[in-house]
Amino acid sequence: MKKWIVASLIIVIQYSVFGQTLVRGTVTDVKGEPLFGANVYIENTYDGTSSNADGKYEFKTDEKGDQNLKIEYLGYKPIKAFVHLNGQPVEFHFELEEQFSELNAVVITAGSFEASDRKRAIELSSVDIATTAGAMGDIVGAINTLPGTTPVGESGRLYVRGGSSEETKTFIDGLLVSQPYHSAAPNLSTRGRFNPFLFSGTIFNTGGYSAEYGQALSSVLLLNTINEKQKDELNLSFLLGLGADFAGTKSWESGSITASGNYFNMKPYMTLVKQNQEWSKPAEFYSQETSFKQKTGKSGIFKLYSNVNQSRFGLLQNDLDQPGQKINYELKNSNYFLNTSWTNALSEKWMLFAGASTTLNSDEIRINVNPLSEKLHAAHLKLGFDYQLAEKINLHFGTDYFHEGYTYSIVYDTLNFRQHLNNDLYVGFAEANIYTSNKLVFRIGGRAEYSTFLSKYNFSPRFSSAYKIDDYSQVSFAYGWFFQSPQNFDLLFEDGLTFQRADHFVLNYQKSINKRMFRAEVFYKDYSHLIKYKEDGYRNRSNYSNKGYGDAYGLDVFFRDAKTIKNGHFWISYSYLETERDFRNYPYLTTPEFASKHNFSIVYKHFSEKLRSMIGGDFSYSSPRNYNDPNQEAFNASKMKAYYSLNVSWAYLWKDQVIIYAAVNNVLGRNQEYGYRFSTQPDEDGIYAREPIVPQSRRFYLLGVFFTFSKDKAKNQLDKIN
Amino acid sequence: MLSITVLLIGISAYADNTAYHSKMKQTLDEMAKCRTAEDFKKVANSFDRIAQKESGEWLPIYFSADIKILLVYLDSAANFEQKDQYLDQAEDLINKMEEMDPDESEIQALKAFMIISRIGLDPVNRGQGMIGDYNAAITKSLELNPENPRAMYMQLSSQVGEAQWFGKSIDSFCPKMKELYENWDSYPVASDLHPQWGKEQLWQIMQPCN
Repeated sequence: MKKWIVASLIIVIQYSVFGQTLVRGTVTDVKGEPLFGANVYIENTYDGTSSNADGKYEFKTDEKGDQNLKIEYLGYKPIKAFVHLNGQPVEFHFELEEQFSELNAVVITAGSFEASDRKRAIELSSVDIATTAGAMGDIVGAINTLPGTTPVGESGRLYVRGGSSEETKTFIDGLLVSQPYHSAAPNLSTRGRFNPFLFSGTIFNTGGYSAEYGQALSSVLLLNTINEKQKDELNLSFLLGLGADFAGTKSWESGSITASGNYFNMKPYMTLVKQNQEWSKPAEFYSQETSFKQKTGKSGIFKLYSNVNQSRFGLLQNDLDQPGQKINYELKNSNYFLNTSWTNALSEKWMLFAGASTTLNSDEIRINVNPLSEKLHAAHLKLGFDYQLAEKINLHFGTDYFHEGYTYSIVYDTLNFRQHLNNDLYVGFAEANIYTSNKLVFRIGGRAEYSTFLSKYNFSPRFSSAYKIDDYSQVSFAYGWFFQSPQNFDLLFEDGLTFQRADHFVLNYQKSINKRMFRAEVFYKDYSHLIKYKEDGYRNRSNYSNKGYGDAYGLDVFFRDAKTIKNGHFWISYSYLETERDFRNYPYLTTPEFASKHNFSIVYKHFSEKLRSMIGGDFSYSSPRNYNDPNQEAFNASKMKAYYSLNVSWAYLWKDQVIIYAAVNNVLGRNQEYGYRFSTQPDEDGIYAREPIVPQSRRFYLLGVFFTFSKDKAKNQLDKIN
Repeated sequence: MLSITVLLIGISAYADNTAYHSKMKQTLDEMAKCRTAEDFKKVANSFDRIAQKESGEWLPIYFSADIKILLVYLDSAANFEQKDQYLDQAEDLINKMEEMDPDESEIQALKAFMIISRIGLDPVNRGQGMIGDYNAAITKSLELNPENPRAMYMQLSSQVGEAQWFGKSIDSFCPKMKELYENWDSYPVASDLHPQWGKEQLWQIMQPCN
């Protein structure tokens, strides 16, 4: 017994004679630059210190014997070094390697604009999209203030980098929306169907996009529904002379449901604001939307979105072929859209996505007494996987099935025509994201499609890459082939057609620091196999072929500043576009009517605490576009007036739960003109009669009141107004 | 022989416990003396070292995360992106703590502090999306401990801020704030190592009263 105590006492005394060990050295990166604030310590003890500004560290430890000396520094791989501590000073010089982290690694930005809230290099926030003054709550209006777009006032759809509006496709949560626009009267602007406040996370791809998407020669617009936690609340809005909207949200721990309904009728508005057209029936529509979200298991999310919509209008237009007569164009549209999706992490490395969308759209049109109808039943099924193959390699692949059932029927004089077609598209896609470091990434992908109607395959390679020059700037490149089936209407009349094609090259530079971003992008698109036909009178087409071709190239510049002005931010876009094509009924190569050489936009938003208001303004300019005058020899040789518009909006938080909103489009009162429409036949003097194409009214006014009632005291209009 | 071994083991275990306690106390004292961002970063590293030794304790992680959030306010040399990165680090640590102890009120209160700091960096764009998560964290913190003065302070702080923004008077909140301030020290603190911040911040927002 005594021996043990004596022995342990001797051991204790022996250890204390040895004393502390001094541990010191330096910490640098692989280039030899000192690292300041690295954590150096003996594993499983408290003993350690931080490296100083010269990368030097020094500390004393009471630990003895074999130990592990650890060094950690954010963004770098930690090191563990074996040391033997016996009182003699030890010196260690560490060289730390950068740690790869997908979250901090470079992102491919070529041809891609993302509206996000959390990202650092922020191009736009989702609030920006929803609150751009001139957009009047239409997503397309907001996207038209970004570079790469041409606003086409007589259409209201998205025209990207010299492409027609069919060349852009819209997806919600990865699933196709076949009819993203309302049916509109000829030569009058339409709007998007969806409320921008539904989405948090919009990606606008202007070219060179991922193998996951296809059938869009120019671009894809990816809208993602809100993921953040919602509060129980009731929203009511009233727009003067137009209509009302109500929406209710109920949420629980793992999900939420929002249901809304609205009714709009332009009749009262048209009596208040002078209209340029005559309406036999002012536009009327009502719709019901439902959005449902539920967490499943540990990492699954199930989403459902449905939109049911009915609209009608009647427009009286001068019959240019029979002066003095009018044509009554009446349209009744019903549209049903349903979108469901499920994402789930199957394991640490595998992620699954499964979804389906379906559209039932019916347009019943009457041109005077002649009925015309177009019905579309479309469905999209998608199954996708994400596999983390290695630390730096990620695979993304899947398969899609698209179905389209299209029916067109028309009765006109003695003509009684009805035709239906079914077109199914089977798709497989795969791509790999390969990082060589935090600074460099390559994305290689391929997409294969088979169309049952065309009985043809296509395969498109897609390649993109990005390189981080430094912490705040990068360059990015994208290249790919893009195929698109001809329009359904044209497929009715011709067999033996094939996919249209566009090849894209995109090169991009961007720098983002301290809430300012600058971005410049050059692009080149080569079009081939575009549909060509001969047209005798409205939609009377023959001689179909895929002999059309063309190209588009240009420069897009974007600058956003959320720092310089307190409580305000703005962005400036400029696009330069050169494009020519020979397609549709064009007799030869020419610049299309939906492309303008120069496009400029400036958007400003200001948040005033004193006035409790969000004030916004934007100004856009487009250089004159071409249009075709049949009285001229040359095709598409006439020039429209230049387009410009100054728009302002004011959202005022009147009370706790009430916002008053006012907006005016085209404050300057410019008389916009989008070329002319012409008679189908020349008169006895051989002249085609004409009439200018103008918007519905010179200015557009919006005055509304929005109420929010929520269960939680903390949530109120404060957030809505931002 | 056996009893001495047991005694020696008991003594070393007790020594470890007091070693942890005294190291934490020492580091907390250092934290109270910090002035510059560099000082704070050194102390955060100290807490990280304690955390790697005491794998079952969330308190050292808590203070490391707390410092990262404070750096957003204290590091004047940092730009927007760097401040966001501090909050990324804090968020990672908070997620780790939530896994260790999902029912700890203080962790939820710190989470709320992190979220409100995120919003503060870009309120116009982030307010709408993140305010739901902020309120959820405060609600959970109060559910887990209705007498957590930090959670009560943050709830009052956002209510007062909201009222001030509307140009309304904050008088209705003054009695609550005064009561909280007067009773602050009487609210039970689980140990002398547990977080105690908030009284000074409460004093600041109370100033417009009376």
